[in-house]
Amino acid sequence: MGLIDSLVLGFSTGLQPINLLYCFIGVLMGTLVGVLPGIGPAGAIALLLPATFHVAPVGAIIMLAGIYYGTAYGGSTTSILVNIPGEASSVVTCLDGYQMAKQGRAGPALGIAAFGSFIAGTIGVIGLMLVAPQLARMALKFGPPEYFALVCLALTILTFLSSGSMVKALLMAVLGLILGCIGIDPVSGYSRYTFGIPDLMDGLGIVPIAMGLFGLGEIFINLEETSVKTILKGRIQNLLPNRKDWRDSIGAIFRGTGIGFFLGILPGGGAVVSSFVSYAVERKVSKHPELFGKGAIEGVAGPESANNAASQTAFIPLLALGIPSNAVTAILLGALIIQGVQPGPMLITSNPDLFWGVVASMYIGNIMLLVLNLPLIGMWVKVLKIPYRILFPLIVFFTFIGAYSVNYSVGDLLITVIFGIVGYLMRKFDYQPAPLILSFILTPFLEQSVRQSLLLSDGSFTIFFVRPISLLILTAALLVLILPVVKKRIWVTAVQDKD
Amino acid sequence: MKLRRKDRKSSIFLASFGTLIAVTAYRFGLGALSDPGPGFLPFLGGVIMILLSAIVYLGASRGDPESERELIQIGNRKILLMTACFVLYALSFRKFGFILANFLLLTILFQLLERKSWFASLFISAATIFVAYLIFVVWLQVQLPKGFIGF
Repeated sequence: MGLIDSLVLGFSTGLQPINLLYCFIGVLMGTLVGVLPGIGPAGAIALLLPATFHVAPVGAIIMLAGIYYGTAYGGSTTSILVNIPGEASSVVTCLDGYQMAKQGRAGPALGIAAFGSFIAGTIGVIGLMLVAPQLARMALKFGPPEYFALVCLALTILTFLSSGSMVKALLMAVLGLILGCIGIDPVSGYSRYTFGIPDLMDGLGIVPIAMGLFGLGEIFINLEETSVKTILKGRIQNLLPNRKDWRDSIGAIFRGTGIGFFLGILPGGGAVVSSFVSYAVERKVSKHPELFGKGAIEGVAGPESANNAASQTAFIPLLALGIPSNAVTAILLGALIIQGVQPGPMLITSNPDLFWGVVASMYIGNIMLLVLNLPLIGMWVKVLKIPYRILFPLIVFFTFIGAYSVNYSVGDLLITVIFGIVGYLMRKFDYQPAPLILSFILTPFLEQSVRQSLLLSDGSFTIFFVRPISLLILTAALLVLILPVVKKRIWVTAVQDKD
Repeated sequence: MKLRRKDRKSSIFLASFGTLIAVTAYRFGLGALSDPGPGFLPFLGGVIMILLSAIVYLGASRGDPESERELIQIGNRKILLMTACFVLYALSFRKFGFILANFLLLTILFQLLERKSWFASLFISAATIFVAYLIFVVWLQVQLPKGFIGF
């Protein structure tokens, strides 16, 4: 199908009133979640996942996707106005955004964030539209060994880019793997770690785990912190950045878009890393680096564009390969599976209405978000006034309803609570949840690839190294693993040489 | 690698967990290399976990001893109370039914988080349950348990 035909299909799907509604709900929720600290896109998507079960797959993904790229818009609002990032991807925006607000320039800051997000988001969708089908076509030549290698690479890059210790991130990935083994083994029919509990026969669900780790876990952590928030007083005037603002920012916007575009595709990359890298880059290329941290508009335009581009291109590996690149897309993968859609390179060709419908809705969604984030900014400021003690119980409430409604199982409720504690402990001890959830969702896939590969090769492990593509990918994964060690060695010897 | 002294505790825990998994997985049967059994992947996972935990432990031991004195306040009263609440909630969910169980949950949570008037908590809980009922039961048609009070 040519590109034009596909887009026609996409828009005819995306513009259906019901799908427009889902898109709107998604981006609205996304902005809300982005504005509110204390709940992130992963938690919100996990929360709304059960609600999408009675909805057609297209609508479900349109809505859930809308939440994801919506948060990349909303997070900047609180960063700029209150110096509190609504999202991890908007932390960097606080640095200069809040300063601009203090100088009475909240309007242009918000404005450039919204426009930059829109430009980057739209370019990101174009990228998704062009790259994903090509990537899928390439991946059709992949066999089980290549998939195994790809999953390994995804996990190693994710752990490499994770904040904190890489070893600890790997530990979490392994933990996710083990958790993924709970249940009846599909090949042998053997019950693993089910302890005779029928609820566990199908394995732990992605929904209770995600809700526990990202929903309840965040809430537990937030309970410990009591911070006083003062919303910046004063009206927000002229949301439109002036000529000079545009001149200063346009480079940052495009650089940010480029950074976000590529980092979004990489596992472990995504919106957060892109925003940090963009800020660093902007400071490096700026003619006035001393202005950064004091209200440089490039410090807002760049990162906000980067995080939006990344939220869009994160869908490329998900839809083209069936391999998620971060926690959010991992949950979305779970959503696809639950909806009965088979993820993988065949997805685009066997469900063209799904893929192109989602692409079309992303264009539409970005436009909706521009409107939501500019004129309606006053509404979001009011939302911030809802006290936490009302908000948290509501989030908990919806979390539990959602968890129960997946399988009508009380067991799932308990799993959610348990993983809430796990999530809390993990954060306390500096372990990252993203590798866990990624490897959890990929475990069935990984196990199948390994077993099929070994069946193909009659037990010989060399199959992974004899096939060229698989060898290439595995070598890359290995390089990523030893890179930090090598770097440290070089650094240490350099220091010693100096003496 | 930013490992601190406190990572020693977590690495010991994870190493023990890994050992447990490896041992139990071995009993599932590793199968032959050409036809891996159900225990294959978990066993591998357990072993790698032990290895990685050892690396963390060694790395953490080289860390700054100052940070061991870093008091990690694990859990305060609120969190423990909340967890107990949640567990009770989960266990009684079917018996009490959607409406009653959630009403109690919300009220308790509102009270727990900040002492406000009982009336306000009850009112907001009731309002929320009502809205949720409309969304979940009427619109999305989720089957929620009725409990002993009949609705």
